[in-house]
Amino acid sequence: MSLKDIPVHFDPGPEPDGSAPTGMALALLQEVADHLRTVADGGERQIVELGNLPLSDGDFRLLEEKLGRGEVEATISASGRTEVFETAYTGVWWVKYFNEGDHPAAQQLEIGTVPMILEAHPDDIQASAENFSRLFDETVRNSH
Amino acid sequence: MKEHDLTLGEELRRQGISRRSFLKFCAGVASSMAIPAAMVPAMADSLAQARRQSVIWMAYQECTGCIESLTRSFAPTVENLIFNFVSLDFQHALQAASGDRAVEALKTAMKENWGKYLVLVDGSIPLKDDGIYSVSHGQTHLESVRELAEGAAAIVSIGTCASFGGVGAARPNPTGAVGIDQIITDKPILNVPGCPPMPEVMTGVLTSFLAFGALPEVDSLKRPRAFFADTIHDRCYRRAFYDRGLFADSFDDEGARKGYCLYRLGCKGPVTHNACATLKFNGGVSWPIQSGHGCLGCSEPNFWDKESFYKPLSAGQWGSAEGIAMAAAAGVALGAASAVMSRRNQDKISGGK
Repeated sequence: MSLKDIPVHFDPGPEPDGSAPTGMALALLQEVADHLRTVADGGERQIVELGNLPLSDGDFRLLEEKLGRGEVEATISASGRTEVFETAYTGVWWVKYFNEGDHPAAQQLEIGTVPMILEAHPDDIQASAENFSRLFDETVRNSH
Repeated sequence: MKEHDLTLGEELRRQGISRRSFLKFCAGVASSMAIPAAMVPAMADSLAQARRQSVIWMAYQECTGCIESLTRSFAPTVENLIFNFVSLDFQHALQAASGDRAVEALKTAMKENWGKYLVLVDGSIPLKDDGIYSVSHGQTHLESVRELAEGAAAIVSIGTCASFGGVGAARPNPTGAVGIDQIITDKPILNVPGCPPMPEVMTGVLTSFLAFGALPEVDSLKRPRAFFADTIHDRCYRRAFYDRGLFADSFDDEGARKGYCLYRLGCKGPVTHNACATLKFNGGVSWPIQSGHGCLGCSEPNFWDKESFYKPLSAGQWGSAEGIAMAAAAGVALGAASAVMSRRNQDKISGGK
């Protein structure tokens, strides 16, 4: 006799995590509209954190559908993957951070010229400039 | 175990880790702590300027469930924290050294970082018969915690046992177990209760200690408000069913299958302050209520001794009917105006910036 012979039927029931939009997505779009106005008027970069809001799968689907996809897509490899894409609305960016194990770590809508994770940090540029001059010296030395 | 002269930014750059990693790490922490995302760049800069923090992690009267939970932190990972930002100088379960050598390592770390090290504790401390019921390396944990606390910058009590006595202190409490803050009263102490605690709370607390140089703002039970200000009920995805009066009456009835509210099955969500409703466990896979079981109230004091896990709140010892009604009313208000509420929390953390 194997496990298959035992007449047990597993009924997981309907998905308990409601997949219908909750209204939260609409509230969020309203917030994004405000932020976009702020940035369009010359204000600072605005960020909306999606990770700690009780958004349902339906809310996410609605957000993705309404915001759409724009011209830019990028993947950053720094302590795991980060995915960035511009939505159909210029200046509204969707940023998805993943950790080393490729689990979602944070998810944000950034409203501004360019998402901060894409920018190089001045300290890193400083270090890079030092390394680069060394590379140049070495190359010159080796060619003689 | 040596003095770390380099800043974390310098140290990690030598390993080829760019500032983007700091930014990302802080984005994860800020997300879980409801720190305004606009503060992330400043937080990352500040973390990069910090120096590696000496951390001593003691396991007292405990079950190792806390560390099992904490090593399953996903956003950001606790490995990332331990390898990149702190110097974990002593931890029973994680360190390679054992016996006398381990104790030596502990003493050295204490001496070299006297007044500056951070003590993490999981487990309660028995007081009865001079604490003889819980001993490591010939020293009672009561003596151990007093000795360690003397040179500590701050103490973080991890889990409900270290915070409030927890399971060890459950009736009839044969060992006279108590939480750390009932023994140590002259040091900053932060409680991170939960059975087990949320891993993101620990990474959040440690990161904000490193980046801001202080423990985060706490509630009346010394719990960080960023994680414990809301009740489970406030943020529960089944809340809509509660509001419409739709309840499961047994674990396999129609209501249970439809995912209705578990209040009548004993859910303690309305009086339990914790963050698992949004952070969830195991990298966001699930949490108790999503798996169909009511909240046990594991992050509240004496949760073991408050009647049955399966009796509705209105029948138990979790507070007056009025208190519960108030919790519910606050929940409704929050549900309706969660954006306003979270903005207010954020203002508090950022000092109104």
